[in-house]
Amino acid sequence: MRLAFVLLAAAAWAAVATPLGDVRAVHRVHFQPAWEYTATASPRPLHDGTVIVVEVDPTLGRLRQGRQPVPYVDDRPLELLAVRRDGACLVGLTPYTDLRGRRLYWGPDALAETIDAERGASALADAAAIVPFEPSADVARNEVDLPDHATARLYIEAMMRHCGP
Amino acid sequence: MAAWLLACTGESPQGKGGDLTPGDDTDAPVGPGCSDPTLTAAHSAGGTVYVPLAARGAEEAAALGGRPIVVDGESAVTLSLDASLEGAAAVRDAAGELLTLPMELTPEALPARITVSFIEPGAATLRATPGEGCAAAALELRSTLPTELAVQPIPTAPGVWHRDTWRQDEAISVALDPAEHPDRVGLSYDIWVVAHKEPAAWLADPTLTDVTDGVERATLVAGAARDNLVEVWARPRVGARLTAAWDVVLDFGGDGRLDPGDLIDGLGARPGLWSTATLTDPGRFTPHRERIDDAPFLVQEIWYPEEIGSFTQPAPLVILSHGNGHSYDWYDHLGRHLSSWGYVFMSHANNTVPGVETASNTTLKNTDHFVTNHAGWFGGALAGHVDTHHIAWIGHSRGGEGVVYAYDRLVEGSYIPDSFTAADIALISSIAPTVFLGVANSDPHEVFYHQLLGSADGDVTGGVDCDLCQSLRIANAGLGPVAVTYLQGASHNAFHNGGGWDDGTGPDRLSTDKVHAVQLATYTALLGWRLQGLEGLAGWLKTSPDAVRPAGVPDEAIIASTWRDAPTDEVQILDAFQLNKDAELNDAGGAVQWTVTNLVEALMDDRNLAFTWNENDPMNGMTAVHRDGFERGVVFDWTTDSTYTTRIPDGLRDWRTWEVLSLRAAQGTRHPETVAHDGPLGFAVELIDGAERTVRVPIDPYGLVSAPYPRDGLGQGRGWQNEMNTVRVPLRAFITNGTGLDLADIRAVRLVFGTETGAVSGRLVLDDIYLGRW
Repeated sequence: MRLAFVLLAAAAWAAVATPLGDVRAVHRVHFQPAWEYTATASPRPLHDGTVIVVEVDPTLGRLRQGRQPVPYVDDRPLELLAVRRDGACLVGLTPYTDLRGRRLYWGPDALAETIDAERGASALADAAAIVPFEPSADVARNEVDLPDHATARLYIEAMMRHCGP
Repeated sequence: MAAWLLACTGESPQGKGGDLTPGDDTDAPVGPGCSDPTLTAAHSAGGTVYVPLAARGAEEAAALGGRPIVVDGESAVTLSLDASLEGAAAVRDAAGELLTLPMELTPEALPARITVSFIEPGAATLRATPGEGCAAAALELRSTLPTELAVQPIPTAPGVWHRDTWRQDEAISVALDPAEHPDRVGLSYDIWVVAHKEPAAWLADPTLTDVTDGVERATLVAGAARDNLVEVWARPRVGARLTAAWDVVLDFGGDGRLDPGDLIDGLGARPGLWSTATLTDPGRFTPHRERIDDAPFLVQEIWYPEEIGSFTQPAPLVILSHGNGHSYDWYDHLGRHLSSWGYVFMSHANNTVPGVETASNTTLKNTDHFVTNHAGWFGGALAGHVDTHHIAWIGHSRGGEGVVYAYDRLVEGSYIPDSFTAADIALISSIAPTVFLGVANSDPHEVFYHQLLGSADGDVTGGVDCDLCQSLRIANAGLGPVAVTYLQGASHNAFHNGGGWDDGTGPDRLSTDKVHAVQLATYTALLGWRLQGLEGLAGWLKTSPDAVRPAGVPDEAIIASTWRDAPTDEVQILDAFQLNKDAELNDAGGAVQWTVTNLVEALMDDRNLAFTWNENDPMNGMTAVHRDGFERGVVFDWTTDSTYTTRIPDGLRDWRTWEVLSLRAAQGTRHPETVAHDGPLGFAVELIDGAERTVRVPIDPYGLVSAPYPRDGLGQGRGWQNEMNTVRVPLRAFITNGTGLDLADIRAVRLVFGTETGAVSGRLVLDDIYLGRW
């Protein structure tokens, strides 16, 4: 019984410590006014960050009510701005402004609002096997100013179009 | 002038009347000319005179519900009331002025017309004592329960069920119990159903105006209440409102007026009955939708009645906080419906992805944003027309926990809004809420709290393998009034109209349309009661839907419903299984005895990760508590005729001012005896008085205990989490038809299980046995 439990736990861990998915777009963004970054135990306003569009495993990406894997960029949870209804594509915001060499992965089941620096570091340590991100030529790159909320909303909707239909 | 008086005196009321003057019985005149006085009660065939106890709130008009008595004689008399019981009865003169007894009545004052009413239960002897040499007259008076007349015929004892809340499409009958009014047997009366009036209005104008197709006439015959059943209204009117209030009057004088001696159901704080609309039908207002988009999570869809500018009262405010992966515009079915009934409905974008704390932030900030700014929106359409002091928060899943945690933060003072306080939140309802934060944080405190849950929920499943999915933990932590609507076959995503993934798990799935019908009816009743003060709608939360349900709720929907009053002075708890943790002692301090088997009193917490029956886990299937929480109950089973008896200690035995005996019960999921019974479960309640008189009332008409939803998974067998069902048995049922039970001296409540009461075998979890009022 105990062995079975250990095996199951290991399998569950392996299932979430996986690459985030195929990155379709990477935009460096400037918010004015600031965007409240809430995917953390210490929410704070962001003036600069990076928005990414990623195709993901829908079984991991589909939003549910319970605990589910948290998408990370290195040690910081990705703030989800939009998720396609089937869960197969998401638009997220990270406080990092340069993603090169950073790990994009699914961390353990949790609520992002509970992830403090210690838990973030722990998640990153456990994701050592994830290949660091290097944007390929087909990744859409841009630098965007978002001067107000309405523009930001339209921008997020536009980014969802990278997800396809 | 009342017809009863003319009938008594046979002369003009002005002919021989006079003022009454308080006096001392030692001053009674003595001497020649004395004769035997008489005391004559109107509408009485003789013997003891039965006087309905004044209903709560009827004190000022108690005379209208009392019994008129004529005091007559040739010589002076001293009028007195049995001194030991006079506090229970009140005596008034013909003008309604309270009299202080004993008092002297001079010959010139006779015949004198007085009215006796009972403010408290009791009995009294009224005496008219003449001078020396003449015999005194005496009249025995006894209080009965407050008059209730509107009944539904039922197949089990006592044959009628006195109800207050009625559908507009069900026939209302009236029945007078001859055992309660034996002095009226053989007398005829007209049955009037009239618009409800406050006591003062009745005093000012006692004229009767019938609202049915015609006044019925009946004669009280000996036998049972059921023998005196008269259908009086085939289709009760409601009009364009949600409820309409009516009184029922039995006019014994036949003069088309409510006079002392007539009987009225509805004199007091509560009408005789309410008729209620089809709660799923749209209301009379025109829904109008607007949108606010002021920041990433200050996005609101707002519905309000187009006619709101003409409202003379501000419209109540309902705020909805959606769940994770849901959207604020997925609740149009609620917005459209509620605005048609006069509400302002605001559904906002909810930041649920990070978690419940951020969701609670969003609820708080959106509420503040609305309350602060709404007057300036939409050309000022809402200015002055929104009641921001009676707000309902509804949340779904993570949002359902978020609204509770938001309230906790208001109460604890960790969040201080600009424009509202915790006192402005009149109601919180959570649809399938998560429990991430535990009930120490997601704590409803004393707010009126409701849950709407689906047994086929494939997300917040209610399963014992998932602590945060056991929504009932929050409901059971509430210290205010708590209601739970547990809908079999409903999935998580059927409660909104945005589609979403099909999470439904289990058989007999209920379509989204039918789930929405239950949802609309439930919220229309809940919000109408709590935000608009429409007391008549409370019946739809308190009464088991298994017994009777609002018009519009599909008949095939199986609903386990819990109603639990707040533990205030308005209830008398007999056993909530909280104070005395010894199973042999109830919370009131009385002994508990049983012949049922395998009885265990414990926290209502399934202690493992499966629903499979396991004798080491007696509270198998209970999800009321997990890790935190305090709710305890008792569980037992039976395979032969068995009983569970809880005894009433001295000091709590007078039940005459209580109206219902309430308890809640659930079948034990996947237990062999539940499997063997295989269906809704009934039992009977017996009350035993000090003379060992025992009266049995089956719970069947008031709602059975639902069978567990036959969902598989989490171990072997079928059956999901245990579903509590509140059963409220009217105490009147125990005395109807002259059972002789003494409600002033109840010694024990006995639950009877077995062949005679519907379930040869079974497994039951029991909790919250208490006395309450309607």
